[in-house]
Amino acid sequence: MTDRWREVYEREYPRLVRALLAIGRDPAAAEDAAQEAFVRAHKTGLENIEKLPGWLLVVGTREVFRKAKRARRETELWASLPPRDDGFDTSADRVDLLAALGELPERQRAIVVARYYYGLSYDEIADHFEIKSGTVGATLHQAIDRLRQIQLAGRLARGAMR
Amino acid sequence: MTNERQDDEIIGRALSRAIETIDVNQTPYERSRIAAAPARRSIFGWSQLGFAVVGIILAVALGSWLTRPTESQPGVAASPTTPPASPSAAGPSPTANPIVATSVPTWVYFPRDGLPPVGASVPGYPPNSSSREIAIDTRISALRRLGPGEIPAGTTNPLSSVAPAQAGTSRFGVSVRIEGDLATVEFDLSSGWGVRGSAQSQALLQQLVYTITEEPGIRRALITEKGKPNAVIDKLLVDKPLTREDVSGYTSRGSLDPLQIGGVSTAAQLSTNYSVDSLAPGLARFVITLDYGTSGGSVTDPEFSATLIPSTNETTGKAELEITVPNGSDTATTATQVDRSPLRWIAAGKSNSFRAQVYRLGLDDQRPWRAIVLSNPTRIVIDIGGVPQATSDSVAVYSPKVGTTTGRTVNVSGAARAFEAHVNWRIKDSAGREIGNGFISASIFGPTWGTFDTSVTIPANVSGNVTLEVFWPSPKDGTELGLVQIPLVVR
Repeated sequence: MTDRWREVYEREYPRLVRALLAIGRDPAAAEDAAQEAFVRAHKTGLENIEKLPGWLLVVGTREVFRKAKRARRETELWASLPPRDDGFDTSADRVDLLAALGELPERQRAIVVARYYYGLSYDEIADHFEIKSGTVGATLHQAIDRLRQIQLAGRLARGAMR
Repeated sequence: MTNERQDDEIIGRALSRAIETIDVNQTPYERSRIAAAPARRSIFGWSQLGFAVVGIILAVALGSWLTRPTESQPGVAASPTTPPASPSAAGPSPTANPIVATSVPTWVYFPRDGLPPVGASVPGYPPNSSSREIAIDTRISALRRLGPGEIPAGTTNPLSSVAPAQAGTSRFGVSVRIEGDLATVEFDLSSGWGVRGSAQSQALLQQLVYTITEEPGIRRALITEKGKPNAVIDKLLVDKPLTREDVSGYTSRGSLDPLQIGGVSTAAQLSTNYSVDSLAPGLARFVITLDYGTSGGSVTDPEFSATLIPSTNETTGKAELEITVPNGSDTATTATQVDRSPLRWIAAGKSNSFRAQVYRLGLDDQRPWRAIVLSNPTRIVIDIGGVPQATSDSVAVYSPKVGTTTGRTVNVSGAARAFEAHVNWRIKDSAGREIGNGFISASIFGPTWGTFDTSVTIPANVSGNVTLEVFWPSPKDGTELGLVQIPLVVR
């Protein structure tokens, strides 16, 4: 039993923390929320959870947002991310995308991460996040469109400064 | 699948990779909060549940392949009561990670005879969207499963003739290793590569190198056969990492020197359009039209700069061409996903530090490119690529087309970046003897490209196969530079 949890933990924990960091932008809160999500999963029991990865993501996301509302810490923002680079390189583009993600509304952030990082289907997202399944596609498209605009603006600004 | 949705998927996948690169503290299991919690009993073993999930996912993936994806695909229904499926059918990722049951648009390449390959989006089934190795495997598998009617017109799919490693599975025995910008892809082949002759072998190699290096951050591909440090495709030995430029078919790669044109920078309203494959196969043309309004009239030498940048762009493309027009202004500040090889996307925006309009073109590779200026109205024309035989780093012949049958009078037109705009031509017969020559003055001299358009006459006693050669002599020692050789048939 312990080994089973160890296996689940070692597989799911790193990406859960990454996802929560991308959504919430606070490393300490992301870790805390990820730990909390595992504790709740443990209490609930594996046999009672149909799709564990998505379940952990939703519980962790709620936790992150709850904490963020309580204390909006912006100082440690992106502390654990690679430093922003003014050259045209991969890390700059990545940071651009992650920074752009941070500018989306909370709910859009979570749905984008659930879809593209966790690979959840529209129906799963609707189910887990308790939204109408018909609005998932529209919300995603809106969010990606905004991401594209923000990222492009960053790239062009960098290009012009070289 | 609409283009809009494809665009979204591309950005989504780039974002997924970006998240994957975030450094996180991995609190060890021993120090996690659940390690100390009291144990609970479970009715079903986790591993059994895992296989059940994989089984269902395979079933859903197969179903969606037959029906093609819709806007809202039903989710993966995993229930502990489903009988477990065989773990051997699970592909390269036998873990129970959530799998995208719908197909994901997957960008792959198809060779064309005598031309650089063209990219296209086909359905791919990534078992897990977050691994770069699996993304490469997914592209190769996507090509493997395409039927003859599912590839772009005028292309071939040599990879479809490569036999899969195990009978009864649609996946190759492919293993992918990534180190820096190099992806090593090892094929476990049951009965060889399935191609014959040098043209087919080259086409397969080109398809593999372009498709593998589509992965962001990957520039070089090394293809090997299991248990060997190299691969032998029919008689073609592949024993070193290859870039797209190594297999594109062009004799030279596009110049990385910035093209800076001094000229007039009167305030102008800019508008753009583009075409791909219409002027010549393999050629993308981007045209910026400058409108000076009532005050400026027409300008024959507008100021602009153009630079080719090898790109490590996170979304698409391996090179970017940046064009800056000082004092220009375009009302459009958008990104357009073009996805027609070699042009992947166009971004338009303002420069923040000085009054200038900046355009960026995302490109498949660093193929030869050129910039020319046309007047009435004033236009900056950026041409990227063309037919490899008719294209070098400093000469591009647009007419006559490679391999055409012609009369004795041949219209020769194109562009050249030659010393004092002096361009030479000569015609050789099938035995390689020179049967005629002359020179052309291109329209502009200096660092920029000039255009030429002239008629040459082939001697009356010559017919059949001839070769038209166009080049320019080096001012230093007369060396022939930028040589292109165009085979023709004289009636």
